[in-house]
Amino acid sequence: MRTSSDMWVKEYDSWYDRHIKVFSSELAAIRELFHPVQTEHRSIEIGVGTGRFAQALCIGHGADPSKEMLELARKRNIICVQAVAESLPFKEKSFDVILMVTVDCFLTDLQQAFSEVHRVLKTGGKLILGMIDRNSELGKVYEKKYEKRQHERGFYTCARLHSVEDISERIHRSGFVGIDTVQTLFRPLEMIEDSEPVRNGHGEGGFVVIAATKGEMAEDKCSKTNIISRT
Amino acid sequence: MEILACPLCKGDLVLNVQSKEEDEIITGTLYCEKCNEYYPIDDGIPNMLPPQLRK
Repeated sequence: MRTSSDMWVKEYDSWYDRHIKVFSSELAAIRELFHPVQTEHRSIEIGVGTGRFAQALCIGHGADPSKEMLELARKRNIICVQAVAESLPFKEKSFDVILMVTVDCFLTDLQQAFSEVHRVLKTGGKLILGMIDRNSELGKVYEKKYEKRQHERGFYTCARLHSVEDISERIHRSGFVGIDTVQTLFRPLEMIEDSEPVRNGHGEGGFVVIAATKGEMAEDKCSKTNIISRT
Repeated sequence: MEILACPLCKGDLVLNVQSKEEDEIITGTLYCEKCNEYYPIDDGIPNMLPPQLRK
């Protein structure tokens, strides 16, 4: 009974082998903002899938709604939890670093997801988010693909891309500060034969990485204000 | 995993181990007393999806 889901998991996972230079360009862009995780740090990839990025970046934990994908990620030595970003099963301030790669397009409630990510990060912890920019040439190609598959049952059903401005604004609203971006994938995917360069900012590349830091919590500020006003 | 919490109330969970391989829990349950919800662990992966999203 597992054959069809096993097949699409393998199909999904092998995409990275068939597009190895795209994968290495995306990885290089993430590395630009994702500084090596120190051994005492606890890190997680939310939407870990089969664990390709987590494995390459030595991320210890992974969360994903798909059990089939997690079974593959577990073989890559990642501690896996079946979960959705909007309702994370972790205590507050559990992680130093959280990675999310091309997950924004599958979330049902972006704001709720970012507020959960903010909750489970330690103060000063980092969110690193990789995404396809809706406004880029690559974004337009994917949007067309998604539209075509809208009525088909499959992995990309209901997927919706976002602009970097939209995601940055939502991240900021959730209490993150120091938002920084880098970009890569400047050419059409089929023309990428070598790793693409990584440049600062966004607006040209199809793949954008956003880094943000969890600032001092709003309630911490409130309690401090209360203390001051009481004295 | 000491960082695991109930996905609904974020409260503590009670672990019940059914089988283990070395230090790893392969099957068992995580129970939230407050929500009266069981979260199963199968093949070493805890299913922490909110009950309405479980198949």
